[in-house]
Amino acid sequence: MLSQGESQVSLPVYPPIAYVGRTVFIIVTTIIFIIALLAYLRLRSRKSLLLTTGFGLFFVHGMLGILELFVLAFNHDFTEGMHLLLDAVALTFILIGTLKD
Amino acid sequence: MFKEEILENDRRRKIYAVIKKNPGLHIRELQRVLDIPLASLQYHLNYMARRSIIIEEKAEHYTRYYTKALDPEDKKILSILRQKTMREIVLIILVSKKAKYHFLVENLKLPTSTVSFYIKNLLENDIVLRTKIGYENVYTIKNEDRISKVLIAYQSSLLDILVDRWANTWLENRIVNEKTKEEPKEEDND
Repeated sequence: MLSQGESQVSLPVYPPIAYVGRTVFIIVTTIIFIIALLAYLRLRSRKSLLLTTGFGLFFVHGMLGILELFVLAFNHDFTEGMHLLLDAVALTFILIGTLKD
Repeated sequence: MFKEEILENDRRRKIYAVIKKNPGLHIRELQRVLDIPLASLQYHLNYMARRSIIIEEKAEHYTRYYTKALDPEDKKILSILRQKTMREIVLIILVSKKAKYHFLVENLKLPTSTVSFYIKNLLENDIVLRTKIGYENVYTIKNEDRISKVLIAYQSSLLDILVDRWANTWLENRIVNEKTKEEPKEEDND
């Protein structure tokens, strides 16, 4: 029983699209990240390392999104700006990796 | 010549895969499963047995065949040769015994920078050896028997195909760059 003044902290309920969207996102990013990582392990080039880092960041972003839905400790409610910043850093790695000779 | 050798290698891979799946098969059973002429099958079995890729066990009336497990060094080489272009380079050198840099570029039909990148990787992993003859670099396989064994034991997987296509996609812009640049000298590429 909670005493007076104490409030029970629980996970917020998100709209169904958040669950579907984040699940699809983590599945796709995991597949791409695994392929990129395997390609890096075989080729060991700087170009593939940059690409793997970029797609790895997308994977981390996806993981955070999933944890935010189901684990209270990760429910930091990141601002839209934070999400965009993480994506921008990931895209920068992919861009450098793509343009690198 | 290459095509023929590669086809032979494919046939050996099929035989190896059947023996691996059904250890202890004898030649008649293998022939029924694979539908290969007996003489040809016997030739490939002898080839693989000589190189210790498969094991022969002589019973009263039959010789039974088993595959030999890959050791850690084989597995290390196999992980490198999962890349299609690496396998192609190794096969070309293996078939022609030794190959010059330009010969590899011509046969692979890939940009010089891409070929150099793959050769460097093979040299670093001790799969290929480089010898300088005059002004040209000549490439040979360090351990032919081991490489033959690994190439026969190799079985492609969906993941391998995906990784191959991924690597090709990101290397494509090297080809575009190549066209705009002057072809570098051989010494620069190696």
